[in-house]
This record gives sequence, structure tokens and C-alpha cells, in this order.
Amino acid sequence: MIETINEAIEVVSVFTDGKMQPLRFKWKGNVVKVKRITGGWIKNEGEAKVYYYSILGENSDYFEICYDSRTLRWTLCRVFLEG
Amino acid sequence: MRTIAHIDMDAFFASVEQVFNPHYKGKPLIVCGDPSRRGVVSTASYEARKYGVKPGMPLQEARYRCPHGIYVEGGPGKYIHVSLQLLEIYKEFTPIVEPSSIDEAFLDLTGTVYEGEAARRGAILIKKKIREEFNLTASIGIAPNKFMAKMASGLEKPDGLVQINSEDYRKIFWKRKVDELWGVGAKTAAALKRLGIDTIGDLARFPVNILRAEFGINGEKLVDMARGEDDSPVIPYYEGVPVKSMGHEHTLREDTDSLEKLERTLLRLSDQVGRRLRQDGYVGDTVTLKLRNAKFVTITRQRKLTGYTDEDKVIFKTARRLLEEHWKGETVRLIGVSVSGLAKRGSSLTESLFKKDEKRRRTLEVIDVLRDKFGENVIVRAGTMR
Repeated sequence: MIETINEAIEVVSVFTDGKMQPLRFKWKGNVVKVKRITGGWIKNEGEAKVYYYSILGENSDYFEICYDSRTLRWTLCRVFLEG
Repeated sequence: MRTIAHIDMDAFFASVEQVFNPHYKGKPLIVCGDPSRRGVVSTASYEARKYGVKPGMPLQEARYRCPHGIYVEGGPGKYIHVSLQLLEIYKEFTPIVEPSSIDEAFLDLTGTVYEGEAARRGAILIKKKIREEFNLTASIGIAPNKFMAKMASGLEKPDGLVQINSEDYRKIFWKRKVDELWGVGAKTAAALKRLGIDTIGDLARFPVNILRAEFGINGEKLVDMARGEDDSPVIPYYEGVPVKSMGHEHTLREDTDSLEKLERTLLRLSDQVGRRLRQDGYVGDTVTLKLRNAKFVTITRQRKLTGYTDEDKVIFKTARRLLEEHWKGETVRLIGVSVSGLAKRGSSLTESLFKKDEKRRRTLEVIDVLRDKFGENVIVRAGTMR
């Protein structure tokens, strides 16, 4: 079951080939390592862009996180926890 | 002879969700609006279709047929993003690509290395690229025109590839029911049935003059379709497909017979329609109101304006008038408003219309600038809030 979270998170990301790629993030005191980015998309909010990432964590949990170019903040939007 | 390919992504929204979230892979997945509210199925994965769940089906019925299905809210941003990337793949094969919807496109392969017999090889390459880059499947139809290509793409879904010529078209489709023709809905099929037309072949052989009397100009189009005749060009994405109307509709959280609620929703929808018209530089001269009641009976009523408009206020006032005239107080499930009879703003026939209310015009322009800069919700009409 997918759950909406919408909580601010801290993210470590790398900029490579003109793209931003999240590597790991901290949520509720736990560090989630990104195993695979399964997809991504961009939403326009006026002039600002919000970059969304679909992510599989190392323990196969699924996360959707986003980066708001206007506020420079990351948000954990939704999760699908395995088990 | 032309070589046209029609590419139709298989269960597109559901397939994208399954790729983005691998937990959904192989499961009956139903993409809809907010699953906690009422509404209809946008797309169902092929696993869900086995239970009879189809696009357009009310969620209540879908849950009855497939109670163990996974119901997820669609994310248009994802689909648009993938759709734009698919367009980049198509452009590698021909510059003449017409996206006919978010998950379908026509490609004119005439004059390319994939013309004629080679089209099949091109289609295999396109399918391979789509699979490699997105892990998605597409069904492709190839034919001498757009209509036949569209019909062919639906023959072997999912992951199909069918190339036909006019003779194949007659052999395959003439024995099929007339409602299998692209664009023929239940109402038209019923009207054709009353004329004794049951199959596509019946329609192809039917006297055109009788159909013209019954359906007007569409009578000839119906015969052309049944015969597989279509000379319409593939309009490249960079030229833009002419827009016929712009509209928004909304399935209410609960059926309602409250005029206040209906008017509030109508105001929000009119605001959205006006905004889209102005964003894309269109004006229109006809406003249409759509109402669907609790028994799923849908009516549309329209009014032609005295001139062109792209203003929320004019759209809302006209739609509200239509509501007052045609709503009999029954409970309403869905309400919608659209504007048609479109022309590009600034064309000679629309020029003089915007001089009379410059103040209102300037206010709208300021609102649009704010929304362009800060997003749609930065300013909303007080009448839509509660």
C-alpha cells in the first residue's frame, strides 16, 4: 500500500552528466541508500521546477522523493514499504 | 502509396506505474483519480483487465469486479515525461510524427528507409528501443493511411505488430461489428443498426445518400471509414494539431442537488478553461455545459456567444445560465464546461472584442502572470473556496 508522507528530508546527491541523482537520504533517523532510480519526472510550479524521483531502497522499499528548485528543499512524498 | 505507422502504448499509465514502482509488476493495477473518492478507471493493467476492469468504468464497479486490485492515483507528470521521451525515439525514424494523445502517435514513414515493406523492420526497432529504454511495450499498426494504421494497431494488443493493406483491411474488418470502427460509439452504432447496418462491410456497401440524410456530413465519413479510405495527413508535432475545444470536468465527491455546490464547481472549472485558453492563445464562441446525473445519464447543452471570449467570467455566466435552464434539480454526479468554436486570439475576427473592457482584461493578465511565476494556486477565486 502506498502512503502519502510529505515530510522534509535530508538528501545526499551527486551531479553528473548534467543530472542530479540522489544517493541516500535520512528519514525518521534511518539512512536509506538508493539501490536504483526507477524513474523521474519534472513538474512545473510557475517558473520553478520540482524534480521527482522514483527510488528503490536497498531493502526494496519504494520511495518517491522530490527536490523543489525554488525552496532548495527535498521532500519525501510517498512510500511503499515492503512487507 | 503512403506508409503510416500508428503506435499505441499498451495500458500506458498502468505500465508506467509498474515500471516506476516494481512492487506493482504482475499485479492487477488500476490507475484512477484519488482512490478514496469516486471516479472512473483511467487505465487498468492487463492483469486487472482479466477481471473485466476497463478504462472509463466507475471505480465502484471496478472494485466489485477486482476487489484485490491495487488502486493508485495517477501522476500525470510521470506520463507526460515518458510520453515526451517516446517522441524523441519516434523522431529518430521520421520527422513527421503526430502525437494523437499522450500514449498514441502517428508516424509518416513515406520517403524514409522504412517505407513500404521495410516498415515492419522499422517498427520492430521502435518496439525494441521502447522496451530497452523504458521497459514498456507498444502495439504498432502499419498501413497506407492513418485510419487503417489505427485500426491495425488494435488487432494484436498487447505488444502487437500488424501491417495491412486495403485488401487485408476488408478481409479482417468487414465481417466485424460496426462499433469496432474507430470513432463509432454506442449511439452511432445503435443508429446504424436501425438502418439495418450491423457489420463494417454492411456500412461500406450502404448508399451514401441515405447516410448523409441521417448523419449529415458524417454520413460520408462513416462510409470512408468502413471502406478504409482516409487521405488525412500526419501533422508533425511542431506544426501543432488544431484544437477544436478546451474543457474541464469534475466528478463530485458525492452526488449533489445543491445549486450552490454546482455553481462553485462551475466557477472553478470556468476559471481553469479560461486560463487554458489564454495560455494557448485561443478564444472561443460557444460554451457547453455537461451534466451527468446519479443514473449516469449525461446531457450536454451549449450556447453560441455573440462574440469570442477567453474570459472566465463570460464562460461562467454562460454555463450558469445553461445550468439554470436545463438542470431540473436532480442529483448530479459530474459537471463539466468547455469552450469550442475556437480561433487564435489576435486573428482579424477576434481583434475588436478586447477593447471594451480593458480593466478586466488587465486584471486577468496580472492573475496569469502571477500564476505563471508562482503556480496555479497562488491566487484563486473567493467563490470557489469554502
